[in-house]
Amino acid sequence: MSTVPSDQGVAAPQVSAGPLATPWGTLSWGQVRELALPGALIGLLGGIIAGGLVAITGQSPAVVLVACVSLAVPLAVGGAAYELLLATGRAPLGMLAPAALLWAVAFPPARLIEAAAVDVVAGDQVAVPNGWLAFAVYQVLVAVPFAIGFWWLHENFAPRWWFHIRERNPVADHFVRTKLEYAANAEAEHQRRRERKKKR
Amino acid sequence: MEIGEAPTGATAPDQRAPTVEKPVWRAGKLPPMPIRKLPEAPQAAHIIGPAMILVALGVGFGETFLWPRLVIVFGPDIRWLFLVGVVVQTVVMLEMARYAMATGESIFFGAARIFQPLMWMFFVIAIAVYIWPGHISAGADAFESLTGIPWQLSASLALLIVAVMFTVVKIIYNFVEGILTFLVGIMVIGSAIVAAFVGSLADLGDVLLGLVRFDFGIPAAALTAAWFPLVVGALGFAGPSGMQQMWYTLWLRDKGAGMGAHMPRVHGLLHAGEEETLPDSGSMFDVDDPDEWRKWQEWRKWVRYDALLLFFGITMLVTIIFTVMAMHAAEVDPQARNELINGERDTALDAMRSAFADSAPILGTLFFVFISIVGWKASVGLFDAFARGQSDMTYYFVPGAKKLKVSHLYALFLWGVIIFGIIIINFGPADGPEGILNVLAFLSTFVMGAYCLTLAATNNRNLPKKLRPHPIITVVLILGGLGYLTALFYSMIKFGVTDLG
Repeated sequence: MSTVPSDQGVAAPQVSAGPLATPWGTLSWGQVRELALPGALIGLLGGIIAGGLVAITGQSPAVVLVACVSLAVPLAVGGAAYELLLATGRAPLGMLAPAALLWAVAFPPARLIEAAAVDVVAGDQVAVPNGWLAFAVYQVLVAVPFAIGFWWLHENFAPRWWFHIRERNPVADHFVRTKLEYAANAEAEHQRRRERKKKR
Repeated sequence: MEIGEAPTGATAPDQRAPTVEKPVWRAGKLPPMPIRKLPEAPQAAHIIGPAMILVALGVGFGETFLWPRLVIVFGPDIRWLFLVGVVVQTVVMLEMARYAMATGESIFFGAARIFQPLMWMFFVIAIAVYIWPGHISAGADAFESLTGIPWQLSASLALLIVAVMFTVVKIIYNFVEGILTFLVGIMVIGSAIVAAFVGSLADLGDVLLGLVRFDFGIPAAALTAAWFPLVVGALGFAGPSGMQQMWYTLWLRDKGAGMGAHMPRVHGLLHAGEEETLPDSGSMFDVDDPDEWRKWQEWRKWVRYDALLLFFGITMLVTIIFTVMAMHAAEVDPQARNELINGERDTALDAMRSAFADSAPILGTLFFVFISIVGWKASVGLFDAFARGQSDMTYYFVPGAKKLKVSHLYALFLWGVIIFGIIIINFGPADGPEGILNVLAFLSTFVMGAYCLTLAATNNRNLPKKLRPHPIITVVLILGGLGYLTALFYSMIKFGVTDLG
């Protein structure tokens, strides 16, 4: 529960040209990849939970592979997209709502891709239970708890990764600084409120 | 600060120390609490607290099995009872936090301040109920179904790994929090994924509506010998069961919440030498100092976040998803429905799995993976909790125990329960001897009624008047305690049944 001084951020090297321009510097492909890693891994984890374990149900290797990949990859892409939204400043750091919005949009198509891919490989007609509208609405609702789990893991584990790469990634460095400054600002604001109350 | 003001109650010993050099707060006959500074509460509301550990332990058998089963039998409208159960547990949690954060003491110490035999009762019940490794067998059974690895082997290995991990890490709490944070995340994501495959909008709507159908009441069939004990058991298993809420006070202390910041943290055995000696008692802050009071209010705000969002929110989320899954299973496979209604736990779990597998082969596997995770994560927390609680009581109340550090006692209880567990897993009944199963089940629910009443007494007699709970909260605790005990004794006397699971 202790706070850390906000000067612990480390100036990361700047890249003059690269695939992703952020308010805190332009990133090379390598930097984009390492920044996208936590979100992608958490998304992948979600896919693996559902798809990877088909391997031990005695299904054909084709179905196993398709079930794994067709859910894990879209979810990993969604997770990586979340990181890029953070990196470009389009989504604020540390808030649940942007993650919930992202997954409300990204989760239903991911689920749809998985269902369709498995049906195709199994030779069945592509269909969903209870009709498309009810299916879509239901998947949007289920996306919210998925987003909560995603956000939970991200908030607790991504900062450790940022801290690890901050010296070579300006956005990660900015995230670390922001987290530390948030704590320092909160403490300062807290102190101001305390003093105002004392004056009264 | 109300130093010098005696709290109402029979002990009435709260006096200003007669030869006042250092101010103290007296409660009961145990050593007085020195007045110390309350630390600042964390400013970031989302810094997680020990509620997360309680969620990891609490979301288990009740949420994944008992309640889904009741919903299949009586319909989703019975879930209003679940809401009541979790609300009572949330109140209990906030009150446990009140005592632990105000004093830095565990609820066991608080109980001893009122009547020491009460604390010994909890000590004995903990040993009777929690030395049996039954809780790990559910996870290991599911693991065997998935992999074919004999459950005795995986359970024994898991026990050893847990013991070694808790021995080599420096600060045990940090380790438990880290590992359970990860597992709770997996549980929430996994629940959502599974829900995405099963269930429908209509099922979800029914389950959500059922939570507030207070007009549904209790159906006559639920008041029969066949179902009443299970309804009571399910109520007990809504959220944390058994002694989990009591151990929450010890995790709060190690988290450094409130006055817990003045207490040393429990170290792993290999780092026992670095542990500071525990003081003779907790401490109290000056409640009449406006600045101290402000800090207290902020600690309460922090713990409310912990209780409402983490504990209440995640518990409700997971149980809603599992109920939707069970409804789906019953729709898909009518035979599974019958087995869920008539079967024992293992048969019913198999029935749920086969119903999911009928829908899609992956789902049967996923269900068992899930049950396996739920079983393992509960076990990690329970071994820590048991060793933590018993070592705390032993350190303070067994003569001569203070020659050792708490870390030594913790390791003693931890390795004791692990070695006993391995022996029992391989050579004995994992849930406990057949002849005393009913007694163990009885004690597990009895302790919940007992701690509600103990908590009401502790917070109203051991704390300064300004810190005591609102009378309505006290009434909720008393009614909750009486409710658990009345239902338990009614079940025992009327139907002769104490096995509520």
